[in-house]
Amino acid sequence: MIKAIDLTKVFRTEEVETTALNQVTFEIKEGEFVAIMGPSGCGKSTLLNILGLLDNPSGGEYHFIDNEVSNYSEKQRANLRKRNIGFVFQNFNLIDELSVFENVELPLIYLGYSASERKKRVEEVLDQMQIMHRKNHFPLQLSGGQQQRVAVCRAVVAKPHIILADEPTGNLDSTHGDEVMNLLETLNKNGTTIIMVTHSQRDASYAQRIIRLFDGQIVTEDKSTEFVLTAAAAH
Amino acid sequence: MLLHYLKTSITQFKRHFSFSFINLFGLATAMAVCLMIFLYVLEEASFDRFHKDAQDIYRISFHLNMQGELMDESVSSYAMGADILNEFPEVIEMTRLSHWYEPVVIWQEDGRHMSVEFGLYAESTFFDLFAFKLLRGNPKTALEDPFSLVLSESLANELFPQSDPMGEVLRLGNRQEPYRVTGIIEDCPTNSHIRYKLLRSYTSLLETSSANFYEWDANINAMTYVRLAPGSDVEQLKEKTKPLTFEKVNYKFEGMGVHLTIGYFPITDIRLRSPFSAEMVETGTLSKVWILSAVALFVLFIAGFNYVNLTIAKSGKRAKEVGMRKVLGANKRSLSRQFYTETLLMTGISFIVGLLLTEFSLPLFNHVLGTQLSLLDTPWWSWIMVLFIFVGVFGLLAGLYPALFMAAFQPVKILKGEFWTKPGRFQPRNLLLLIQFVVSMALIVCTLVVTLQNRHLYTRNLGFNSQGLVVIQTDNLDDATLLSNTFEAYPWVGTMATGSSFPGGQTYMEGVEIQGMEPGIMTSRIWVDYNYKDALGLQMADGQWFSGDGEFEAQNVMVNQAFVRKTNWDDPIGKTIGRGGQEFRVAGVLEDFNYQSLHHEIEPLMLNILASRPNYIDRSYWLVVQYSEIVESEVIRVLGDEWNQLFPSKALAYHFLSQHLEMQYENERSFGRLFMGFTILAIIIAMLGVLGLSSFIAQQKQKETGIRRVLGASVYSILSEMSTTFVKWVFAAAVIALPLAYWYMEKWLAGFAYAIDFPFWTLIAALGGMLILAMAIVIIQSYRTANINPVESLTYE
Repeated sequence: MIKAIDLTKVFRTEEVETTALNQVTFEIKEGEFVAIMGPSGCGKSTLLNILGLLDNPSGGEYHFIDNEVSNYSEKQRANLRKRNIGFVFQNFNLIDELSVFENVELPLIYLGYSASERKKRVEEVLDQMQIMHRKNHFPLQLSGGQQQRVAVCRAVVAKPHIILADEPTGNLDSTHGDEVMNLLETLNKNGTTIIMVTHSQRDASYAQRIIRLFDGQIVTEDKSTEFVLTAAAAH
Repeated sequence: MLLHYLKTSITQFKRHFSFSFINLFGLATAMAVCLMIFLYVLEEASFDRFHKDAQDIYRISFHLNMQGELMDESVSSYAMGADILNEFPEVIEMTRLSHWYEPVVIWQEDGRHMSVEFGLYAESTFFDLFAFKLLRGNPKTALEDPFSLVLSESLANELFPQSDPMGEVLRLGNRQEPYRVTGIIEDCPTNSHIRYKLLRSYTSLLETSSANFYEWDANINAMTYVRLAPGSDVEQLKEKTKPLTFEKVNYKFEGMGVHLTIGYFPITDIRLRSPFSAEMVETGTLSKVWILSAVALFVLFIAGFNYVNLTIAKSGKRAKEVGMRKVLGANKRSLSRQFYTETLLMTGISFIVGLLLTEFSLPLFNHVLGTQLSLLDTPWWSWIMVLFIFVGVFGLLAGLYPALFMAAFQPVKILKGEFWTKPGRFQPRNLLLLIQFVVSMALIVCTLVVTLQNRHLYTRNLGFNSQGLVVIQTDNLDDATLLSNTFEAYPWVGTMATGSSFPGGQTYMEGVEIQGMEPGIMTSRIWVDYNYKDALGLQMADGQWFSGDGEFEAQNVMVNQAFVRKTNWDDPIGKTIGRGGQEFRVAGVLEDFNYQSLHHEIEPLMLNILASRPNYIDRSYWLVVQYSEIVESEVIRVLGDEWNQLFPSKALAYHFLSQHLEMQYENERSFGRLFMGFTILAIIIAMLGVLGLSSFIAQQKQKETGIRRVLGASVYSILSEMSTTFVKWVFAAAVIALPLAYWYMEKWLAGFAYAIDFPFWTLIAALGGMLILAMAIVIIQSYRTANINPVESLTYE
């Protein structure tokens, strides 16, 4: 489903050149739940932005569902993105001015669904996530856990193939964090591919595979957290 | 999708109410200003276009060249019209009007009387040429017989509230001539250069006047209108009129440097472009139309810039929303559409509020400009146009930049919090801010200069005393003497004088012969009594004033300094002036005084003693009465009482001289007030923009301010840091605005006969004013931010 070959991202300013990703190569198969871990500044979010088609790499190849997309224009990426990817962010990124219903409805609007179809799908997913009773509330009227649940609803409402989650529990207490992770696990069990950036070992344990980054490079790809920890320390 | 855009727009409006309010207020006010000016321009442009085939109707104009001195008159001689109609086949219709520029007194059965302005003499062809509707009576005959009278509808209702006016007899003028009502005409449309309240048949004038109606150079007081056959060449007609003019009049002036040219002036151009004197209503309003249109555009631009500026400033707050929408699949086009919808909604609401504001402000606007504009009378197509311009073009233009700006946000940057433009990079909103300051400052300078120039006109030393004087019209010298004898009993009455005119009153030009000068010069002439100089406080420059009122002074004449300049006399005293076979000796020279309004330069004037005037006893005069230590209302009361006792069957006509003179500048004064009003509005709108922008900059700098405070910065240093940006732009704007305003106003002042020197302090005042205003707004806004506890500002980020 996703294949990265020698993926490189270099940020240039007038004086400094920073290599955020350095020839990263890996593959993620359909239906996998993969966690990306690593210390701050190791390139996790850069990688997630490229995987999520929010940014282009500076070098290498990126195959997304059989398309080589590394040189796609913003328009092409947007088109591919809205049909295939759902996003969940650490800070929820809900639009404060829109109600819960309207926030969840947004991806369907951009996909051109009819109003009746949108209503049906939004209510279905709000019901599934048990947040239906809050559909007319605004994000700032909800708890952090509820906001993230709405964000998950928004991520899944268009039935994407992949969900990209950037520290989905980072702003939540452990109870609400577990709740969100259980949601992601359920989605994965129902066939959605999930790629999650996290600092948390606890969250990473929900994943089937962990990709560990350090200074823009993959140091290990394994399920065994203990082994990985040792390797990282040695590095 | 559209519904979603609309919903989002409404939510945005509600959520950011203060921001929305500033925008709405600015846009609505600007639209109201533009709408009122639009109505005004529409009205001005529609003048005299309601006549059938108005483009074929011309007024004969009269251009006299006397040795290079030009006189352009709206009136021509009565005789010309008929000759031109007979001579040239392309002239298919002709009608003449005469206006005497003084109110007509209407006497009723019970002896009551009223004065009515705009009482015209008109010919029976009046209704053939013009589209004015005769509501009662026969248009072919209503103005045919002598002493026929057509009343305007409102006047008819006023005079005959209960009965039918048709066939009734009314007595008109001090001679109380009996006129029979033969028709009722619709009230005069406001967009007509011809004004009437009543029409008397021209034949009545021909019957009662001994004037010469058959010569081209006599009785020049008819406004003559002709209709040309469609497609006629006016220039060719003008050429063809030249030989006729020679045959009728110019042959008399040959070799004298005098030449008469007949012109044909389109009636649809009279309101905007007439250069002629003696029009019934104000004309030559084209410059007003231009100036007000420019103000309207300025105001609209300022409001538009505000919208763009504030929207972009606010976009920081919306960056997350835009970023998320993009992440979720929105493309540039759909985002642009969303922002367009918001702009259109905002301009749409502003348009409605602007309409309401216009409806409320129109009475004031009408009062100031002397117009009768109404929203409901505007033609339907102009509504579509206004709606299209305001909501369509303006909405899209003002929405274009913010829409493109925000739609171009890169989601990755926004999600990383890297939205704000890096320092040092050029920001278009600064350009917009600069333009606002430029326009505001230029408007301040223009308003100050216009106000000062107007004040200069009202307060200028006119060369005579205008305070504490009342002038009263009398039918003849006996009446004037009777009245002045009666007034002598009142202790508050000072010097009294009698004259054929008074400063600001009507004077007529006459040609006089000067020894050694062919063909002489044109001069105004007033017949006065011995007291005239003292009553008006005139000053002698040379020689002696008349020594008494007797006929022994008949040979002597006073002239003004302008007269002396015109004749190039080194020693004027004792020089002779010839007029109508008589010779006069210059006995004294008066210092120049403005006997006409300041729109005119002082022209030659000669003063003869009353007793030297042919039939002087029977002519009408103005009695000038000095009064002191008494209020005007008391003067009016005494004057009314005495007048009614002396002349119970005559109508009283009088002016307080100072008020009469002020009336001459009423047009300038009201226009000045209007200009100032709009300028103040423009500046308020611009400052609202500064308010909005500074508040957003303050928000944007909240984190920076917090860090500075933690590091020890004082509130004062933060305020000065924040205001520097605005001060910089005010100075940059001054560099552009002040020279521009100086250049334009110098040009404007050059158009006045009596202009002030350009007041340079206005430039400093504009800069200072703008600095103080902008700084005050910025400091008030920033003070809050600077005072926020740094802990709060840092957690905010």
